Amino acid sequence: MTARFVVLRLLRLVAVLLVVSALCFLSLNLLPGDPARAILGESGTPESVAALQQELGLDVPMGERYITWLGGILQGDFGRSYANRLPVADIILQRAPVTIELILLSQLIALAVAIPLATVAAVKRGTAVDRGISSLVFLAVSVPSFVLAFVLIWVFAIKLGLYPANGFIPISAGLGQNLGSLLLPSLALAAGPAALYQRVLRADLAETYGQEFMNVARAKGVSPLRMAVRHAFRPSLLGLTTSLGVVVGVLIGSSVIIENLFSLPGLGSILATSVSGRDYVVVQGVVLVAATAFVVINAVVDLVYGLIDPRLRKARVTRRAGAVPVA
Amino acid sequence: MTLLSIRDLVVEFPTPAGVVRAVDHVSLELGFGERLGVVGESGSGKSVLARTAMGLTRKGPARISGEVVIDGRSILGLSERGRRALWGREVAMVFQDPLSALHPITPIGAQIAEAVRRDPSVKKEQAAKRAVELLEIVGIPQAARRAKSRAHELSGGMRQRVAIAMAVAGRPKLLFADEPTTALDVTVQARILDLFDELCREFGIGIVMVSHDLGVVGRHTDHVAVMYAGRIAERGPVKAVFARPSMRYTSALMAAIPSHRAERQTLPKPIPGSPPNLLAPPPGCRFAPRCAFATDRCGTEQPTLTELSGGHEYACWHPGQEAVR
Ligand SMILES: Nc1ncnc2c1ncn2[C@@H]1O[C@H](COP(=O)(O)OP(=O)(O)OP(=O)(O)O)[C@@H](O)[C@H]1O
Ligand code: SF4
Ligand SMILES: [Mg+2]
Repeated sequence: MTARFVVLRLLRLVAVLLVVSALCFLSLNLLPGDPARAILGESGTPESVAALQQELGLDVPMGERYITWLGGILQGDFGRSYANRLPVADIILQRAPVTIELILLSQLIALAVAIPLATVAAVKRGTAVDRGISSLVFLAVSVPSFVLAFVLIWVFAIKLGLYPANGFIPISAGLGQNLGSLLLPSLALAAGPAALYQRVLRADLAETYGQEFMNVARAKGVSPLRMAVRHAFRPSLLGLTTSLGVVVGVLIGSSVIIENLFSLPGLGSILATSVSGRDYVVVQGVVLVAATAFVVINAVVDLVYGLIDPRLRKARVTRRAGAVPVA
Repeated sequence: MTLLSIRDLVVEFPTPAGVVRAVDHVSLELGFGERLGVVGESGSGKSVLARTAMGLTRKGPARISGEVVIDGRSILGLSERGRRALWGREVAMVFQDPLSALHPITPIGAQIAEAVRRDPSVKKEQAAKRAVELLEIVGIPQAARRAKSRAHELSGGMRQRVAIAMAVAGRPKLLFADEPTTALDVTVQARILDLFDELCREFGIGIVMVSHDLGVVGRHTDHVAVMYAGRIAERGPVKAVFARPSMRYTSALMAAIPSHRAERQTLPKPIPGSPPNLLAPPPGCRFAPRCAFATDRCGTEQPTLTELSGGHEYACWHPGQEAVR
């Protein structure tokens, strides 16, 4: 990668983050509802609310507040929660691992399901097997993750009693326990993306299978398995890598609901709590971190794709312009 | 002993517009160490014939009848698995378009090594070494370094040579070469054709060389088959066919070969018209609409193969060497 490429990427990252933070700040501050009033509740008198506003720094004009907030972030200070006065940076650091683990686990499951299904469908393209897989995938796309989460909770936790519906077990209590506590929410978050991955990869694989070099491999006596793994897979990753980047963005949104449903102490659940508690500093911090993660992950995906298929270093960027997230 | 025997082969592709009969009752034979040239215009069915003879044409999209026997085994009767056991080891193919035939990402050395390793006794490192040797044999300079290149980093001529190296890597008994020298300049072309000659002489490999260039085929094959619209127009020993081309399409092809001899400084005469639409071919001789000697009979009745001299056969009602009146 050239230095110019990296610099452009960094500039883009900064621009995106500025826009995201400004929009986030603006929209939160224009919403009805006031943090001080929300904290004090019914018991708040106009005087006590005004005092709290002053204490939290909410009496300064909005523009000034934004600049102060941004300046703090440049020094690693995300501010303090209005609700409990804890540093926002600590809250994020404490909760991010749960969300990261949830997203990683769910997408590993999604890929583990999607890649074999896409390969089988592409090899048997046009047959009943292909159509069967397609219908299954269509079903998975049509069910929203929170509906699936309800079903999973109902079946596994309530009916079968196999599983604690609520509760996250930290890694310190053992990896098995920890992964077990994330299994149901991961499944809920895996289904939609798995369907997307399967469709995109199957389409690219089917195209690759139509290419002459696949006939050549067959004429060399290469086995179907080796053809799929060694010949077809790598040239067919354009759509899949692109989708991975898009899905990360979608998942950050879905995790808000899923973490709440499964009572996971991640970023998604704190986001929900903070929005309803008008704890804007926390919301802003979390959104900024999520946006950064999204942009960085997409840059990494671009780099990785360039390594997988050096021919198409530029192709991904063009293709993504037309890509539509489906999840 | 017969290495390859094709009997009454018909290959049809049902398409929305109708059935395309790409190969129409073709019979051919080839012995060990022999070279057969298959010549014809674009679309005459040469590639489909070669692919089907190798067992590559899939039965889903195509309808196939007739018989293909390679070294005693009926290839069309074998399962995909049974054919795969032969592919790359007993029978191999140099595909027509070398750019699309090579894998876009895998380095060429590894692609050749994969073909070498069809022999399970060959170790990985040996195969890599052998791949470099093969690249040297087909005349790639700095073969060891080139082995790490990818297809898009090579010139057209080099890609074609890589495709050839890959096809001969498994030491097949029978090699189909589909236009193996089209992208090459004259020097490299001669070198590749000499290589083919050597493979036949020294290892007894049988070669089916597909080409649209009768001139090239003439100098490097023992037998020649001329195809027109899926049918055999004429076939026989090269010398006999060149001495007395009889079906008028062959005569026209001969006339189109640029002559290098001083006393015959005639310009090549291109054949007027274009090959028939295979969805609705002319009912009689397929060449009739373009033939200067066509009569009413040519338009209604299909000529069958008639023997002229030992093994030299033609399908024409009014045979002769002239292409124009
Ligand atoms: N899969 C297919 N489906 C339908 N028609 C096909 C298919 N494959 C080949 N054909 C048709 O069969 C005919 C013969 O094709 P083929 O590729 O064998 O020609 P060719 O002699 O090799 O020509 P060229 O010199 O251009 O390579 C063509 O008309 C082609 O359109
Ligand atoms: S059969 Fe008739 S139309 Fe066909 S090549 Fe001979 S003379 Fe020409
Ligand atoms: Mg061809």
